Amino acid sequence: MVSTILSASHLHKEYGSGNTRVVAVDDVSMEIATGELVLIMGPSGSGKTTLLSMLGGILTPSSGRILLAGLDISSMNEAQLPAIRAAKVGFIFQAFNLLDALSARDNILLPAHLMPGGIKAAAPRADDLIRRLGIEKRQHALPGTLSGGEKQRVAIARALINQPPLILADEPTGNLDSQSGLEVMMVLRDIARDEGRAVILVTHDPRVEAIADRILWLEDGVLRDRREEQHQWLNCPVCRMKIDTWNAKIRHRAGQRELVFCTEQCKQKFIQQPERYMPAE
Amino acid sequence: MYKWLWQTLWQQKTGVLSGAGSVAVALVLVVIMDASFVGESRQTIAYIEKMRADVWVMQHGVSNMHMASSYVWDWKLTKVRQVAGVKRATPILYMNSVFAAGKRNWFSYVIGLPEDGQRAGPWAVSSGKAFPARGEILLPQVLEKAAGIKLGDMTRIGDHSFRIVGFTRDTFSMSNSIAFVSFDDLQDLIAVSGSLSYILVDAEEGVDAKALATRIESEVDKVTAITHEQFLANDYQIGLLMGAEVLSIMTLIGIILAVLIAVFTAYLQVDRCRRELAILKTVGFPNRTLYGMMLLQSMIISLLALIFTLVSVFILTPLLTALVPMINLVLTEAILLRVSYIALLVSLLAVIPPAWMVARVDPLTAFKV
Ligand SMILES: Nc1ncnc2c1ncn2[C@@H]1O[C@H](COP(=O)(O)OP(=O)(O)OP(=O)(O)O)[C@@H](O)[C@H]1O
Ligand SMILES: [Mg+2]
Repeated sequence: MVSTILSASHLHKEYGSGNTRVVAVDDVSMEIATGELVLIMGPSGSGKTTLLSMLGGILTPSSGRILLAGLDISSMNEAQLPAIRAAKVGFIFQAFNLLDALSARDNILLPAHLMPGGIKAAAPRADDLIRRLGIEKRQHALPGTLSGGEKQRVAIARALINQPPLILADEPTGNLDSQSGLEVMMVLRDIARDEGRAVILVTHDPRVEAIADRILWLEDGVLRDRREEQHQWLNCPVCRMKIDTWNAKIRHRAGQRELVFCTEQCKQKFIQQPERYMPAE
Repeated sequence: MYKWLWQTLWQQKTGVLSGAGSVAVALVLVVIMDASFVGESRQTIAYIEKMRADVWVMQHGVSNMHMASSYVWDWKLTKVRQVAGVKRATPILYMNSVFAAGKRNWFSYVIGLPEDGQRAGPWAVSSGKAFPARGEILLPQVLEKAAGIKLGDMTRIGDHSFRIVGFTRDTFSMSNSIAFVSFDDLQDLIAVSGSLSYILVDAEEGVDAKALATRIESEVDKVTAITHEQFLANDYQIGLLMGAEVLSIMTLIGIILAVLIAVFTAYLQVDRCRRELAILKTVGFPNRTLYGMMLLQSMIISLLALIFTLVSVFILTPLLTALVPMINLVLTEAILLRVSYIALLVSLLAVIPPAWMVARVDPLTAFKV
């Protein structure tokens, strides 16, 4: 049976005030069902991380409501939220965020300290996760000695140890080579499909689109229909490097045309000699 | 969770140990200060303690020896000797003064001993004569090295010169040493005659000292008679009074130093773990658990510091005493207990700033790459 595990309505988040005021998320509403793998995509600075941390009870929205497993977490205070994070949410980060002093296995078991039964009750589950993620041989190693892919698999196991209904991953493959990244994506897909957990994934990796149930497009803090036509690969007019237009941050308006560049240096080169680099129509 | 704390502390052991070591330096300072103070205070009563006279008789109204002067007519000695229960009464003349030895002056009790006054003389002699004749003086042995003097040298008290004929043990402290001269010389020096300062009374077997003191006061006109215990307590109190304020300021400075170092150590420790704390927060560990960790960490550092302190103190005390014979260090249980309390206090105070920092660690940091 498919049911709504997470529902957000009219979420709004501002940082700062006055001159430094930034609206990071603006009137975002969404519903996520169990077993769903939802992708959040969008340009840098569009508010993806902000949205994710509100959904996971790390950040309190300026306004709006979040119901997670039937609980209104948007009205909870700092004292109540940690328990929600421990039981209901598993986070996976780009930077892995393992504790250096603990072995892979102890890292995986860390959140279990917060649950009734503690690490004793969680041990069989940890063994199972370690086996499924293929890190048996490395389970007693310290994070410093693990490869990026192994680290992320340990982090995934840690996110799953308390069996939360919601998994939030912020660019989990950002620090991985393409093969390890793909493997991690597959694991996340299985978590959604086979275990019925909701997975929300922030990524820039277009390969993941194929395995997602749904793609949400965030731009300037607002959920939009994705503008398919913007997703195109172009060459940087200066150095000819391939760039994806909808990720590109470095833009420059030349007459009627908006050009994108790979780096600020290339943009400056262009500005100095526009006639030399101006691409043909 | 505790495992994380242990392992993290273990991984950062250099920082932790140097922090604990620095706290220990401050605590050692406190202990040495305390010990030298107790040593000095004890030394001020050394003479009374060693003499162990059952009753001390002195000028009416005087009740101690340190920084005091007492004059009693010498005919009262005969009176005291006639009181029932008195076995022996030994008079001394006494003055607070300074004597010159080496390049400087030394505070001193100068005790004038009558010819048959061995009873009131030095209790341990390291070299030379054990009793001064006219023109002779016995000085603390510590000064042999400290002031570079030897037997046969001359020293001065006021306008009188004395030949050093003996060195005595357990008679030196920075604030007052004990010098022994003949009764007649001291009489000349003070320019009094027919007077003495204190009478050391030994009671007959089975006579109660307190009752004897009362009897002496009632039978001998205008004298104060005090038992050994009371006299000792009076003088010790005065010794404490003189140093107590200086000591408490020094101790306070030591404590403040220890707290500052401990706070700084804890601050560095939290700063190193900032990201890990953010991660623990995202995982769902509440602030109170993290405060607990900080308290535990602070206590571990303080405990280490205390251990370092005790070990160094037990090594330093005999070492310092051997190297610098001028300081009297006396370690008492009370001092060690006190430094333990201070270590506990330090660990509690040092946890406040890190706890404040922990509360302010933003879990969103974990999302940063
Ligand atoms: N603590 C903060 N204080 C002020 N502004 C912030 C803060 N955190 C984020 N912002 C701003 O809010 C906006 C959204 O930031 P957010 O990190 O959510 O974007 P993002 O979509 O995750 O970007 P990226 O893809 O680069 O990770 C940005 O303009 C950012 O500068
Ligand atoms: Mg982000």
